[in-house]
Order: sequence, then C-alpha cells, then structure tokens
Amino acid sequence: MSSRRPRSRASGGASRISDEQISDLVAKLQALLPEARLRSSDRVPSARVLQETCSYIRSLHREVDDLSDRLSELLSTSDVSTAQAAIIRSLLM
Amino acid sequence: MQGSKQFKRAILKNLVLGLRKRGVASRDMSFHERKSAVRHAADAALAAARGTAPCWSRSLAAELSRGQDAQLRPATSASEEYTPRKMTMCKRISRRRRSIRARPKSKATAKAADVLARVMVRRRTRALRDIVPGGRGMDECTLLGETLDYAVSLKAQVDTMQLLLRALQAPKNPMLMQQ
Repeated sequence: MSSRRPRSRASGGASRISDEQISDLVAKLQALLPEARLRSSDRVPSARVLQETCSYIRSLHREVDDLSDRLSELLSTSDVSTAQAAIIRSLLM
Repeated sequence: MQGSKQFKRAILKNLVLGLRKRGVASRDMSFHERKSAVRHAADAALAAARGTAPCWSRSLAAELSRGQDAQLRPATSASEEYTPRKMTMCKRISRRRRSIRARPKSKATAKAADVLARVMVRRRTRALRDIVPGGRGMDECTLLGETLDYAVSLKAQVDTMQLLLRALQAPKNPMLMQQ
C-alpha cells in the first residue's frame, strides 16, 4: 500500500519506492488510454497521463449517460415492432 | 487492459435484473424517472458486479443507496461528502510544496524538473479525487490503482450497455452474444 512511514520524509528512501509504484501505475494508465499517440510514446509526462485519464473517465461517464438516455427512450416509445416489443417484454418484465 | 467477459456478463445480468426490478418497461413513468431508473440500475449493476474489493465500488454502492433514499436524486458522477482526511491531505500537500520551494536552486536541472513533475502529478491527482468514487479519502498510490480499476470497469459498463441496446433494437436476432 502506501509508504507513509514517519521516517520517509527524513530519509527519502521510502519515498523513492512510492515514486516507482506511482510510475508503474501511471504507465498502466497510459496503456489504457484510447489515444494512440499517448500510448505509443513512452516519454509522456505523468501529469499529462493523469490529465488524459481524467478526460477519459469523464467521457466514459458521458457515454453511460447517453446510453441510459437511449435505453430509456427505447423503452418508452410505443413505436416499436411487435417482435421488438416481445423481446423487451420477455427480457425486462 | 480489458474487463473480462465474466465481468461484463455479470454486469449484464445485474443490469437486466435491475431494470426489471425498477419496472422500466412499464408505461407509467415520466422520461426523467425512467432515465434515472436506468442510470441507477446501470451503476448498481456495475458496483455489484465489481464487488466490494475496490474502494470506488463500495463508495458507489453506498452513494446509490443514499440516492435511493433521497427519492431518485439524478445520478451524477461521484459527489462525495467532505471527509476529514481531505483537509489533512491538503495540509500535507502544501507542507510538501513549501519544503520543495525551500530547496536551493543550484541543484541540477534534472532534479528540479523531477520535483516539478511531482508537483504537477499531485495537482492532477486532485482532479482524479473528484472523479473516482471515494477518491477523497485515499492516498495517492491507492488512488492511482483505484483509477485504473475504475476506468477499466467503466469501459466494461459502457460495452455492456451498448450490447443491451443493440439486443433490444434487433427484432430478428435477439441477444446476439457474439463476444
């Protein structure tokens, strides 16, 4: 977990371990991001990766919101084919 | 890094059951009520499928049950309550900043760049704290791990909802589970 030992501020040794863990996690986040240019380059600064991660998560939130919209529109419309209505009924009722 | 098929299947199952439970296919709902119910079901499905291991998942589940008590509060991204630890964290950050500035500028530029990078990372992590459920009570290292897990899980949630949407829209080929 975190190396929040009281001695770490004085010695600096323990904080180096935590920096390594952090770089490792940042590298993993970088690998996750959809933008190819960020993924291919291996000298992207950590702060940039974190910024892109924020944007990425926010865009995922918006997608979930949009999909919720579309799902509820689909369920509220009476303008569906009988086959479709049957599927919706069988699955969701 | 991808959410596993098993995980997505769990989300889908929870989602369908949750939608049933909330009666979203019935006619007597306003658009807002229905959308709220769908969103709530989607987030609950995600948290339940992920389980109680990550902090974000527990925080999200707690937030959802609070929301339910508050009668269909519109689902927003993590709006966590103020926790005492946040204050301490800010103090630690500002204390660290002060000690960073106190270092003599005659040190090698590489080291100064390192220090600046760390400061920037801390700034960005603060933004993450507001985005990841339960982020405000975590230390930096945990937060990054949680962010990773959360992002992967969110992607799985999106994929699953898209699948369900496609399945409900395709009258001739119901539930094409091609994955």
